[in-house]
Amino acid sequence: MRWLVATVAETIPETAHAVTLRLDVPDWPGHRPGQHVDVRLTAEDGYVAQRSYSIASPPGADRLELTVVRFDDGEVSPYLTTVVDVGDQFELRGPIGGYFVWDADDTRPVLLAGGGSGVVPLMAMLRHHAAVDHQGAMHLVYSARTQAELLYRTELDGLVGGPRAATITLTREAPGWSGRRGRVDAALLADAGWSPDAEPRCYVCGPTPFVETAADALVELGHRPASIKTERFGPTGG
Amino acid sequence: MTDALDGNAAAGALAELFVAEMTVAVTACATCGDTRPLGELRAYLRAPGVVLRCATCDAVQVRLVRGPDRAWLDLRGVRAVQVELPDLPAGTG
Repeated sequence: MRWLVATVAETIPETAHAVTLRLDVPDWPGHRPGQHVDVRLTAEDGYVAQRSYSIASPPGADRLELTVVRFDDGEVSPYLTTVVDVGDQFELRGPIGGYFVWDADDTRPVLLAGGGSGVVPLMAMLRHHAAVDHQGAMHLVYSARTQAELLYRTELDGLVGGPRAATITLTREAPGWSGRRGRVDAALLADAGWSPDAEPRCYVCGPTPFVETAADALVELGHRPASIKTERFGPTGG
Repeated sequence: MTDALDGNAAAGALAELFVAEMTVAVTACATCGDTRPLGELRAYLRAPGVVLRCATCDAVQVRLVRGPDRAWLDLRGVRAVQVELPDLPAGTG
């Protein structure tokens, strides 16, 4: 797999800590929703830092999009979120991964559960689902700490409807928030998802504690472990 | 053990060595016999290299170290690997 040169075409602030980078990547071979890329930054002294980022854009979009959340003590995300500007270039390789992916020829209902920036690869799935006008049901359960940390808030409002639904829950103090509160647990997943009889495919992505809690809750509800795919974002991110 | 990620996190490193997509390849653990996609193994990336442990018995299945111009791959914790491939053309094999 070759390293490709990405040129920043646009930077879109998502929250105080997150930016979406829209990238021109000549020779990008295309991707499936849920895949990621490795980004490599090389300093002038030759020091190399490499991190993985999920792809936020659906297949076939004119530009590759990465949504990057800043970790203040990280080596890569502070650069990508606060320094990088239109016209800047860096190296990436991909698409990577074939496990945590959803393909549009799958007709089973889909439950997406995302915690924090774990919503990014799920957004690629939801965007693709809408782009191909898929008639199978796809429901997103998305938890963030605060309203200010919610990614894609406005776009999500436009994406839901028909077979697509989204349930947002906030885990911390939320003045003025009339939506759901609290963590993603079995009760919420039962409410927003399907009974195991519907045999939904479940995709769970977020920090390790979120993934383990949500995946355990799905098993507790009776979903087959083989129908639950997980992707953990680690503290090594950044 | 909370710093473990999934085998997905090793996808890029494995893609440098293998033609097939290895996160959907199924490994049989040499220690306990558990079989599951490599993407579900527990990945430790803070070691000098990548360590993939069995999600059931926690034994080391895969070690991969990338040097500047070569890689070392230790698979002694894996009894067998099953890799998905495209269908053979009719009449071959």
